[in-house]
Amino acid sequence: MNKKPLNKLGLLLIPGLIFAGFVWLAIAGLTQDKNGQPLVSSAGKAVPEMKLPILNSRKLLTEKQFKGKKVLVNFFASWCVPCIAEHEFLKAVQVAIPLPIIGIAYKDKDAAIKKYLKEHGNPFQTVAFDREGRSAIDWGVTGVPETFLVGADGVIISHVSGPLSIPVWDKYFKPFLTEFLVPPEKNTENKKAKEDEAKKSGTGSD
Amino acid sequence: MKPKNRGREVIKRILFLILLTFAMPAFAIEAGEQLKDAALEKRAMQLGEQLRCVVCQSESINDSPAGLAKDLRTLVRSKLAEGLTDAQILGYIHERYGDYVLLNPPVKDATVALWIAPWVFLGVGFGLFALFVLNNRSWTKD
Repeated sequence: MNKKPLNKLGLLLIPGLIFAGFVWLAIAGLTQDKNGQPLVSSAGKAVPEMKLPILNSRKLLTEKQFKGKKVLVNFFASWCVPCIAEHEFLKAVQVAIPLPIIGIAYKDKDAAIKKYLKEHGNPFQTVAFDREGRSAIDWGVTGVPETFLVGADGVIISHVSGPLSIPVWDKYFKPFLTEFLVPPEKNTENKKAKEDEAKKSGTGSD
Repeated sequence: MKPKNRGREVIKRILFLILLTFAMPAFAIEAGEQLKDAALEKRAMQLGEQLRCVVCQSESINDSPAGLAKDLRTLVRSKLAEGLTDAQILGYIHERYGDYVLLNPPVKDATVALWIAPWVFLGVGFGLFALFVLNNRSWTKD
């Protein structure tokens, strides 16, 4: 039994390698660009059922109103500091492209929202209230602000967590809004060309 | 007298540490949240133990004081009162927050490492331990 003693250094190498692996995972986790990325994305899911009261209106916001055109849905609150930081960005979007923005006030009160919009301006086409935060759960919201781009078919295209910024916008929304990025004149030209083509083929325009 | 006092101090500290091990888990559930029906409340607590507070670090919704955790606890209780089964309620929340919300994620391609890794590490640990012991024994024999 002349067993060779095992190479101690070699044995120590195994835990060393495992430890190095953990260090690598930790560094990768810390340096990963997660800006805007939600914990669990709701992209690909249909807009959930809802009946939310609308500010200054007796009507309700329902999922049926999300059909026919792309819309941006922004969960915000008057008590949320990052929302104030994001507000200027939403106003810039509203000025730059004809994309309707629906604001859903999360766990907030009418008076507080009115004051907030008066103070900071109003980029929203419609403001609805999710007073208990119950609809937010159905949307997969984990906190405010969170923003969704909803397609004309009522399916969520992209979902962003945290305040909007240019890098976040360019990564998560811009690729899905190419129709708004052509100059308006060109856009109408395109529409005209499409209509002419439709007339020719006799199917009519959509 | 001095060494005696020091001994007492040490015993006191040890007793304190032993008592700490008997500490009960503190739930974040508020009195008003609980259901009157004890059987339903028991099911709500069991479901809460299985759901992660998604905005916290490794806490169930029962343990977390976060707003979203409270909302999910309320949701679980309202669904129980509506007569939904445990599986239906877990499914409802899973659909909205994905695998991350389940403290016991389902075994599938993306999560299989989570289930296997602890056993692999345990195996590697035992293997190394056994190797070291065998190695040392052969040295003493020599």
